[in-house]
Amino acid sequence: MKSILKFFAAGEDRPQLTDAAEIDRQFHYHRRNIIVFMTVCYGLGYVCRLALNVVKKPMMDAGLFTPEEIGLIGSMLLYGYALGKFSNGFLADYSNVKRFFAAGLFMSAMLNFGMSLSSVLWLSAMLWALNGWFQGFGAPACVVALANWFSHRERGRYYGIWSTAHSIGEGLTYLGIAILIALPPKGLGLPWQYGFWIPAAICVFAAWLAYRFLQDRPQTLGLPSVAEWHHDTVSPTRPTTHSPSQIWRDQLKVLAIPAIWVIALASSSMYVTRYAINSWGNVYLQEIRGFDLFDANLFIFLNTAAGILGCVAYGYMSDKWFAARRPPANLIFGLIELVPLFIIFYGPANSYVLAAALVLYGFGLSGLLASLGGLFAIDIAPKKVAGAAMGFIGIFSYIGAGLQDYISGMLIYKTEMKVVFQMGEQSATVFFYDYTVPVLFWVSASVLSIILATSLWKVKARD
Amino acid sequence: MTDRTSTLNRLALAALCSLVMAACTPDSEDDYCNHHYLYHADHQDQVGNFTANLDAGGQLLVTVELPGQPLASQLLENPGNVYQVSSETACSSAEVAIESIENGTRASYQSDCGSDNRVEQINVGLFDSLDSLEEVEVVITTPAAQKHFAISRQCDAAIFRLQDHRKAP
Repeated sequence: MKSILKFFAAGEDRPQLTDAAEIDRQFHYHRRNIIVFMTVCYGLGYVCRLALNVVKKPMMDAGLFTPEEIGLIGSMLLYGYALGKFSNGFLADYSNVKRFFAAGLFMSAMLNFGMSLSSVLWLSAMLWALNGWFQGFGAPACVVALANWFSHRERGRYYGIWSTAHSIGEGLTYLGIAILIALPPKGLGLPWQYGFWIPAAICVFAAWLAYRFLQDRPQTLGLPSVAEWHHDTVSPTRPTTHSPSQIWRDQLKVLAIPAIWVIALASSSMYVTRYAINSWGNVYLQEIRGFDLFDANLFIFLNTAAGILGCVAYGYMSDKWFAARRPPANLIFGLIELVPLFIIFYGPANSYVLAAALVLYGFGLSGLLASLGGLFAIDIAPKKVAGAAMGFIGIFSYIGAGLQDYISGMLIYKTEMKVVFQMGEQSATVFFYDYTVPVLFWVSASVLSIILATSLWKVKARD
Repeated sequence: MTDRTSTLNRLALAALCSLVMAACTPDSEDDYCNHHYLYHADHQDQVGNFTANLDAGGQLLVTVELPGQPLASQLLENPGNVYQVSSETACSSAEVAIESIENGTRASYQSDCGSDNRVEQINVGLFDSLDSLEEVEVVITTPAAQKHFAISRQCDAAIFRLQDHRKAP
């Protein structure tokens, strides 16, 4: 156990190099590697997180799991991820991030491989929960690497570059894995198991890249801190006059702020819709709207791609048009999300209308996500416990997302109608579902989220 | 690069290669079932057709067409030989209509399952009743969805995405 902990622990500082040119050369080399491979690896890691979403329908068609069981398995990843977000943040602070991140990717790959072999509910649920936990290694490791290798003044733009990995990863999954499974001519027509095998292979490759190209702290290579190297004007560290118990007491005070609870509920409701579309949207489009697997995933990809613009536009609009007041922007982006949602589910059966609605929906949802999952919470919470507020809202959100996955699956399963073609000893079964109630659940969650967010119209930001 | 790093690099690459090899191993599933959707159109007119339409009011209309089976009418007169419905409350007895079509037989069955009744399962027994039946093309419509596929005696799963030249009804 000790040797495992030692393997993952951050390295010791080495005597500092004295050759300024060599220090410059190493910083340039490692920083380029870190931002490129951190973004690439985080994006590639997404395919192991979302693989189940793409192969859900083929697995249901094969009679392997009912929608309720698939929903339960899917929810386990979100619970595991929520737990991972909480625990792995602490672990990453003490770890050599290249090993930590690589281990997370490698274990996620193994768990995807395991999923392809399991047809047992409890085993699949356990594998997928563990996958969620190991997926939670990625973000903290990348944030620590950013903090170690990029100075305060430049961190924003490098954070922005790394953030594109979310959309790259979602795009890779919804299109890349769909190409493997979808029937020719759009796809390769491979069995659904390839939807886990190829992501596993990709994540092993990503783990190798992370291990090869990311780096521990600069000081472990004999380099100065990035702030020293960058001649950054570092504001003197605020003296920590508070004891850990005092900090804990301050963090608990977050729970006494009613607006934080309202944001947590609003964010949780929004995550219901967000993950409903990401988890069940492509199944709905195949089951009810009759699209093939490739087209259904292409539609879902459109909403995730539009999300990049939504995040940027929300920040710009709320800062410039409303003097950093979030509630008016929340309402606008909420409506941009909600109206297309009605069009997606109750609008005309036209592919172009559906595509446009999904783009708008993704744009609006991402804006709201940026606000409720971050900006608005930071505005309202006292700055010294902003992290605790974010953590509280994050866990609430993922619990909402996880509950959604199970509830949606259960609601879908309740409507199941089977048509069984008996052929002597063997039989072929085709399943039919009605999404009327689940869709109502998803849209209602969105309406509730917007009402809750707008109810904080008069809440003022704290300095 | 240290020895330990290069060993770990090699191990990671070996794991990657074994995963890729596992992923690329040919599947043992029957090629016929995997690729039939591409060629179904070639014999579409010779296979049987099974359509079922369940509307929001609970009316169930089932139609069976069996080309090349001119003597099947006696068997088709009994709906139990064709399908059986499992639902929360029993559906009404089916009204049966049989007619001859070109070198074959068409049968239709209409029953009322009630608007508040949930149809849980339809067992189609055509293949067990007709030993010579090899394949049927199926269209099933419910108030929520429509699915179009083929069922072949050679395959243990429905064949979707049929690339046919006819439009599904």
